[in-house]
Amino acid sequence: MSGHLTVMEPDARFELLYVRHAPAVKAYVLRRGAGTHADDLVTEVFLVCLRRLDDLPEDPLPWLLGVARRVLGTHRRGERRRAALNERLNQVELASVPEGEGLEPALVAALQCLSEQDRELLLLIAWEGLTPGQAAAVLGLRAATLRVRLHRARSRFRVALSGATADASTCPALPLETS
Amino acid sequence: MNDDAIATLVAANPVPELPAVEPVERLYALGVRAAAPDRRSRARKVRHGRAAALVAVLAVAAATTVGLAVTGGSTSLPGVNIAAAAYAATSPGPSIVEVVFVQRFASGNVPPLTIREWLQTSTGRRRVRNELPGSGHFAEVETAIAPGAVENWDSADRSGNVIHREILQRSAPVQTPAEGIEQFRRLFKEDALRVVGHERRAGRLLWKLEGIIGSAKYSANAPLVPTTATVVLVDPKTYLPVLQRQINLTVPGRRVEGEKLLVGFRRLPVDHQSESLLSLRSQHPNARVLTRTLTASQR
Repeated sequence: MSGHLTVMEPDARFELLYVRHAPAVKAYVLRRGAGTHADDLVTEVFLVCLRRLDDLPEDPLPWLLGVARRVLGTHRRGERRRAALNERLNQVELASVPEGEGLEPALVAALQCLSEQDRELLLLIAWEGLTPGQAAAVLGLRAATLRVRLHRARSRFRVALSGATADASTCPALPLETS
Repeated sequence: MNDDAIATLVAANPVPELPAVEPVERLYALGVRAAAPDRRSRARKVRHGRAAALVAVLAVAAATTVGLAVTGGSTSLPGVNIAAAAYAATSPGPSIVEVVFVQRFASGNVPPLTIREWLQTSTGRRRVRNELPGSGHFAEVETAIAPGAVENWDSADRSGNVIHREILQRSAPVQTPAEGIEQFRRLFKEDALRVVGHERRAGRLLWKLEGIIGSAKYSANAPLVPTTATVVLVDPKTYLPVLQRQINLTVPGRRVEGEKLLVGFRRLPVDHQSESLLSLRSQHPNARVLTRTLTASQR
């Protein structure tokens, strides 16, 4: 969003942020398999936003997605603990690989072959529609670093996709990390 | 398979459209308020404070500073998103907002219409009262909107002093009418307003925003073309939308069809008296209430 919002009253500024960005935050968590927890996770993200209202950058979306990423991670760890308690850990899909309906198994398998950061980087640009600069802000990277990683992540994804089967345990040999 | 990794992923996006979110009121319902941390922090200071008086002085100074910042001093602050600031300036927050517009019509022998509007976003309630001077039909028409229900009352109702209450079924899309300030706020939410310049009115230089509010197709295969635009003039000091103008784009020369002039805006504390302004039954205690339930197809 363009423009500085810091001159507004806090309530109004918060409401504005919510109206503008909550759908994108919800889409983000849904694309990463939040399912029925999506609304609760969005609420958590905006509670963090509320506490940090005065610290928000001029472009708040990458910041919000960064918070959503951490909230989602915390949520998943909680799910894992609950699953372990129920001795059902091996039956529950908890990886950070997206679980969206209709995804091709080969695509999911190729994504599972990538590192978490490569995967997240590609998805932030492809699914969230972020610019490399915004994606860098979400991941806490410098823009120049991100561009290099993005190039490599694309290469790895292409290789993974060309050799992918529905069985994620058999990943093709991917180009090595050199940095 | 497409060779480009990003294109492949874009095509496989499991959530291609932005989903609907719960209204911000849900967070308000959780007792969340943006100003809450400040209040707690201030309370702690007072508890610990050896200098409570100093804190009070600082609080007054801070409030004054915020007030100056919100009004923007004598001119708009550089870098302020005018549409966003105007949206925020009209946000009721925890209070109830009372707004009064006078609507003038460019054509026809129609006297000015007074529109009074009360909004409370924390509960999603709103009441609008249209007053047309003189007797006859449409002298006074009121609508009250709350989550899941719409109520109408008309002073010229042939069935007498009646409140027509329509219960909206959960599955029915809620398409409630928006006028005055609510119409402006909806336009902003839809990102439909753009700053197009300034306009001088009554000696004051105001921000000029414009957006399309009506479009039509003239044949099945024809593209959608804009038919009605709205111009909103925003005060650079208060960021209030002081004038809304409706423009007919289907005739040469962008004909002005009418204008709504903001003549009153105030925030009311949330108490029994101001909450009664949101209720038709409080306003018309002797009216009969006729209730019917609407399905999606009836809306």
